[in-house]
Amino acid sequence: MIRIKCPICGLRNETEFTYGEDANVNRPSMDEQGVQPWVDFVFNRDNPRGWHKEYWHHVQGCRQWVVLERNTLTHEIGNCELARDAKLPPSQASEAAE
Amino acid sequence: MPEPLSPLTNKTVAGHFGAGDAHGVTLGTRRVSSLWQIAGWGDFEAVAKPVLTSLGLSGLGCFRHAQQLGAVTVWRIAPDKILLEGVRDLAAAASEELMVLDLGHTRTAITVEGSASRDLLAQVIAIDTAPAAFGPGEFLQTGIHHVGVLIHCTGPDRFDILVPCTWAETIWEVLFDNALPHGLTIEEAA
Amino acid sequence: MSKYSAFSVFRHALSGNKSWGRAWRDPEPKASYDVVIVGGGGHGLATAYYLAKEHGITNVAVVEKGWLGGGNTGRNTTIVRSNYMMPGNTMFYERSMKLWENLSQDLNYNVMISQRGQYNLCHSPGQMDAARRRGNIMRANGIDADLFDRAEVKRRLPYLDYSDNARFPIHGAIYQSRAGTARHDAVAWGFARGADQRGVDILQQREVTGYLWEGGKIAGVQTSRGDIRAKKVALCVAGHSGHLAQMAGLRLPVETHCLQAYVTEPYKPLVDTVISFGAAHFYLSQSDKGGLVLGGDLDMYNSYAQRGGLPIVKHTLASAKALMPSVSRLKLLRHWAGVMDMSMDGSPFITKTPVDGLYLNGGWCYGGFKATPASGWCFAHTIATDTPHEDNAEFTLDRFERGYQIDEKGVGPKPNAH
Repeated sequence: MIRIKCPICGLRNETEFTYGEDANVNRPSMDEQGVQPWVDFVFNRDNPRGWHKEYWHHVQGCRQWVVLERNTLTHEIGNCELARDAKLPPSQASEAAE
Repeated sequence: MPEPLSPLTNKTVAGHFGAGDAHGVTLGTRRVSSLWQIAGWGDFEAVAKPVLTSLGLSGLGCFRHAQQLGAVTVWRIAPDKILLEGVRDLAAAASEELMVLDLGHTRTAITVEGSASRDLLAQVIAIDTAPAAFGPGEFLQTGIHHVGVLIHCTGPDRFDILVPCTWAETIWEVLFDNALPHGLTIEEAA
Repeated sequence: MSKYSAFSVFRHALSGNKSWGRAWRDPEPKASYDVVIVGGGGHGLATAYYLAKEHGITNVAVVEKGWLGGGNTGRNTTIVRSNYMMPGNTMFYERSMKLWENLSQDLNYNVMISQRGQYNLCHSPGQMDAARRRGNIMRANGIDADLFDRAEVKRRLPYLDYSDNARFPIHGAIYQSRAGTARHDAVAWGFARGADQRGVDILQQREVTGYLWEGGKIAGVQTSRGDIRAKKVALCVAGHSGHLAQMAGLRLPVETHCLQAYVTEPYKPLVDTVISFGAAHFYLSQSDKGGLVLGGDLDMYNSYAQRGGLPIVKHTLASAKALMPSVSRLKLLRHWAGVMDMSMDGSPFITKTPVDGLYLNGGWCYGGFKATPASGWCFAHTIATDTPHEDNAEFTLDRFERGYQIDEKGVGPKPNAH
């Protein structure tokens, strides 16, 4: 059982959450004309064998999205913060701030 | 205007169940009167202030302790979401920055009381229910049998569980079955 | 290397089974090869075998970081079937099915292919319609398929839940009689022995840590035990595809996820076929040792750990009990996990890559075992001729940007949903 320290609710079981996806994905700005940045955003992933920043949704608690640092090889748990507070790739951070 | 029935009308059959000589748990229901949610984004504190001030409250509150003022109970369930029970109609407070939702008919309350009430909760949620960890005035949001609920500690051995009406029967059954070994009493429905 | 036969079994038994020869060698690597295959699982070994057998390319090494077949090949639930309906998939899996049917004879190694049939149960009229569509696509392509109603399913599988209390009533099923199971270890060993007999070097306990480069072209691999030069490097590493691709500067449309599998205590013969639940992701069969082999959902989060958590065990067993209530009386003996390369459309890659000299076979999600023979066969073709075969022509890396996803489930670019 993965135990996640939700910033709002405290330490909870993974079963209170739904796994989201990789939180390190670079969303291009809406006026990006090139195809490759969009292909990378939608389809290509780093998929690290080690530390991974990922979204989880605390559906049975405060219903907030969090960004969790977790090691995909050892399942060690690192930092967990609200998605709105997390330092994400540049284009996502500016969208979150709006 | 017809009074809505409690979703637990058929479930609250008075009597004593389970372990014959024990009286560890009493289950009951409580009609939820007037439940509202206010939500926003950005500077939620500034936007929610007028509503909260009008109720005699000073701030948004914390995520762990309910605020109680007379018949009004207020829970801060997320950074920019507040649940209020026992308030007047809040529809007029809605604006571009403040979303107001009438949840009056969406929740019912199951009351859990007794010397084994904390043991019962510990059987159905994976959170510490010891008195030091979960005391009067504190609340938490979690899942019972995969249904999102809000559990409010209202006394040394007393809890209110706000459950979605859709799943109220199922949650009642889960609590009922888990309470039997402690000796279960069900009182007449309120 | 001796040929296995009933006579040789008898002869060796008379001498106390002490003089069987090694099934494959454990050679020192040469300085260079024509092809280095990274990954000594079923797919990698099959590729080596067919390179040698079909194309006469024998100057080949298979480099495996652990022991042969110790990855997903040693961990899967052994199901073999060819009931895919999307163009690009249908005939590929049928090629694999046909190779399975003759594999033991071809390899002179008993892979224990058991064509005991596979049922995909349906629990609503809509699901029956979808099954009908799938069956018609199969038949239109010359693949066997039958559609059974509830009464026929009940006659054949009386131990499922047909009660009034059933949470997901059975409306019927689509059935492929030629589908079934095979012994997963035996497949790896059979292909290994066959490849080795034809001159392929199998190099175990040797982890690839990087590539050798000449200009912008791959010139070999760096390993934990020294460099090995190669004209072509072919990746067959399943859940580690992204890991190996990254060493060449590539990002793939793949996420690596954990899938658990389970086996119960051995029991008398009970289930003589493969049954897939239509209301949840769950299926079961019975192994020859007697244990029920159960498979279900991913754990849902990225993982390379080869072990999963208990919440999914509970979820899977709940599905098992909903399908076949008597399962609740059996004890679960073991659970383990593999490393799944979940692709962005649920379908695989057998293709050249944008990196000159590097070939990719991956993205099998959790359905790679049944593909083992055809995967090796098509990948060998792709490596030997530098062009894909018709049967793997759609399994390209660029199909996403061209809008040619092969999405059987229709759930879009969410790897853990496939």
